Amino acid sequence: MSLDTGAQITDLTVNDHACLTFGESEELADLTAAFVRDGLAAGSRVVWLSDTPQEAEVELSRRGLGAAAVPAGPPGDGTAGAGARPIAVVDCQEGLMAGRAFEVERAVGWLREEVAVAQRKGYRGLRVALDMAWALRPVDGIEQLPVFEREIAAMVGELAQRTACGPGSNAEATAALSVLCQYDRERFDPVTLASVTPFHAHSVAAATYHDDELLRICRQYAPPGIRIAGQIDVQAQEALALALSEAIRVDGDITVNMAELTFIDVSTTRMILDAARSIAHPRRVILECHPAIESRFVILGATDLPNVDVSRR
Amino acid sequence: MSHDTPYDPRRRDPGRVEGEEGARTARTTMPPAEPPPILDQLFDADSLYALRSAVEAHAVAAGMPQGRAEDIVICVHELATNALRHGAGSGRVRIWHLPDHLRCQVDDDGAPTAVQDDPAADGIDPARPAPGDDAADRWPYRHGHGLWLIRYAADTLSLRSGPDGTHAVLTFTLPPPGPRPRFHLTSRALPAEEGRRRLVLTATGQLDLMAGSELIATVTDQLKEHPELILDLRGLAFWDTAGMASLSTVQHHVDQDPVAGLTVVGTDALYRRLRSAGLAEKLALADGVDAAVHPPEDTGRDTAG
Repeated sequence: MSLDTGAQITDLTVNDHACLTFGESEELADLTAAFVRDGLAAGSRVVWLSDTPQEAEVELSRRGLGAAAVPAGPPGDGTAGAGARPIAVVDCQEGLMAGRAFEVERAVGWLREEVAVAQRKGYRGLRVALDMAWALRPVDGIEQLPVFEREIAAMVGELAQRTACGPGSNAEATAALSVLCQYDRERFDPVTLASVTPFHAHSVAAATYHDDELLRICRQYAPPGIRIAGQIDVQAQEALALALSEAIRVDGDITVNMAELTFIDVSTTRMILDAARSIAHPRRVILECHPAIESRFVILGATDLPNVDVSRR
Repeated sequence: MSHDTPYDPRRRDPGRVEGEEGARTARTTMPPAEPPPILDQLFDADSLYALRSAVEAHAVAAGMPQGRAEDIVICVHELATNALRHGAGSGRVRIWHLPDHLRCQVDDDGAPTAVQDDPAADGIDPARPAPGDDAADRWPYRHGHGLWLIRYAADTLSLRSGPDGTHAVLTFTLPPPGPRPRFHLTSRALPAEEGRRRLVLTATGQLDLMAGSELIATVTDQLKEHPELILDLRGLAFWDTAGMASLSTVQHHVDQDPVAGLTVVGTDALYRRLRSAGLAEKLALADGVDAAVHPPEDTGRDTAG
C-alpha cells in the first residue's frame, strides 16, 4: 500500500485507512466533522473514538452533527436499537484499553465487533475516527501502536477484497470499513509518526494556504469554506486570494471562519467582501467574526449584500 | 471639555496644527511646551505587527477605551500600509498625549508615487465630493479604501503630500477622566396617536461593541411592538466605530421591515461624526425628540444637515 500524501478528507473511499495529522483542535474537529458528515451521507455508521468524548460531542453539535440532530437508525430501517445509532462518540478507554493497558487483540476485537454491528443493523459501511491522543499518556503496551495500525490496514484490505469479490446484492458480503487515525503533529514525536504512517493508504491534512506564527489560512471542510486565524493584512493577499477562489469553486454556501482572527486590514476585508459579492444567489456567504473585527465588515458594507450573513463567534 | 463637543475649535482646521503659520497661531492659544511623544516608532513592511501592538498598548495606557484603541490601530496601520505602498518603503509613527486627545502622526519620507491613482482602490462607491480644502479631502476615498475607514474612525484627519513625502495627522478624543459611564437604554412609549405605536429609546453612557450588541438586540425586539422608533443618543458620553457600526446594523434591520421607521436624535458632535463616516445619509436624523415626533413636512432624511 503506497502512501499518498496530501489527500483531502473528502476524497476518502468506503474501504480506507487514512492518517490525519493536525496542528490545532479546531482543525481536528473540522476534518473529523467532514469525515462524519460524508460517512452519514453515504449511509455508513460513524464512530468517533475520542480521548475527550464530551468535547467531541460539542464540536459535532456545533456543526449540526450532534447525536440529537441525526435521526436514529440506518436509512429505511426503523428497528435499529439505541446501541447502533448512526453516529456514536465513544471514550477511547472503552474501545481500546483494558484499564491502563493497551492490548492490540482487544482493540482489534472491538473494531471487528463494530463492523459486525454496522453490518447487522443494515448500514452500508462503518467509518471510525480514532483519536490517538491516548497514546501520549503513560500507557502499558504503547509499543504495540504500530502493530495495531498494521492490523487495521490488514482488516481494511481484507474487507475491500471481499467487497470486490463478493456478490454486490448480498449485504452480508459488503461490509466496508474506513478508518481515520488522528495524530497531533505537535505532540507526537517524529519517530512515532514515522513508525505508523506507512500503514496508511492516505495522509490527510487541511489544505493550508498560509501558516506562520502570526497567521494561518486553511480550508474548512465542515461547514465548507476557509478558516483564517491570527492577524491578516495586505501582505497575505495572495494566499487569501487562492483560498477564497478555491472555496468559491465548491458548490453551496461558504463559511469564512474568522472566530480566531483578531486583526484584519481594509484591503483583505474588501477581498473577502468582493469574493462574497461574486457568489450568486441563492448561495450564501457566512462571515463568522471575532468580536474585534465584526464591525469592520459592517462598516465596509457587508450588511448591504443580500447573500451575506455576519455573525459573531 | 464636554464630550458632546469633541471638536476643539483650535484644532478644527488641522492646518492650524500642522501648517507653519498655524503652528504660530496655535502657540498663542496652546500651552507653550508640547510634551514629547508617548510613542515614536519607525516601521517597514516587516514591522507592522510590532507597530500595531505598540500603538494599541500606548493608546490604552493613555486612557483610551479598548474599542477606541483598536480604531487607532487600524487607522495607523492603514496609513503605514499606504506609506509602504506609495512611499519610500519605511516611515515613522508618533503619538502625542495632549490634554484631551491623542494625536497620531504618520510620516513617510519618500515622494508619493500614486496617491491619486491607487489601483487597489476599486470600490463599490464612487469617490464622493468632500467639503473643505484639505489634502485629505482631495484624496479619493471609497468603500474598501483605507482612507475611507480612517475618515470613518478618526475625529479629525489632515493629510499633506509633497516632495518630502506624505504626512498624516489624526486626532482621537480621550474620554473624560474618572469612571466611565456604563451604557444604559431606557424606553418610553409615546401615547398612541392615530393608531401609531411609537417608542423613544434613550441611550446614555459609552456606545462600544458590547453596547452596540445590546442596542441591536433591543431595537430588533422593540420593533415587533413599536414599528416607529425614535433613538435619542444625545446622552452618549463616548462612542467608537464598533458602536457607530451598530447604528448601521440597526438601520439595516429597520430597512428589512416594510412598516418600520427609525429616527435618530443626536448632538452636533455626533452628527458631524456620522456625516464624515458617510452614515448621515443612511439614517434619518432629527433636531431633538420633538422634531422627531412631529417632523416638519417635506424635509429630507438628514434634517439636521
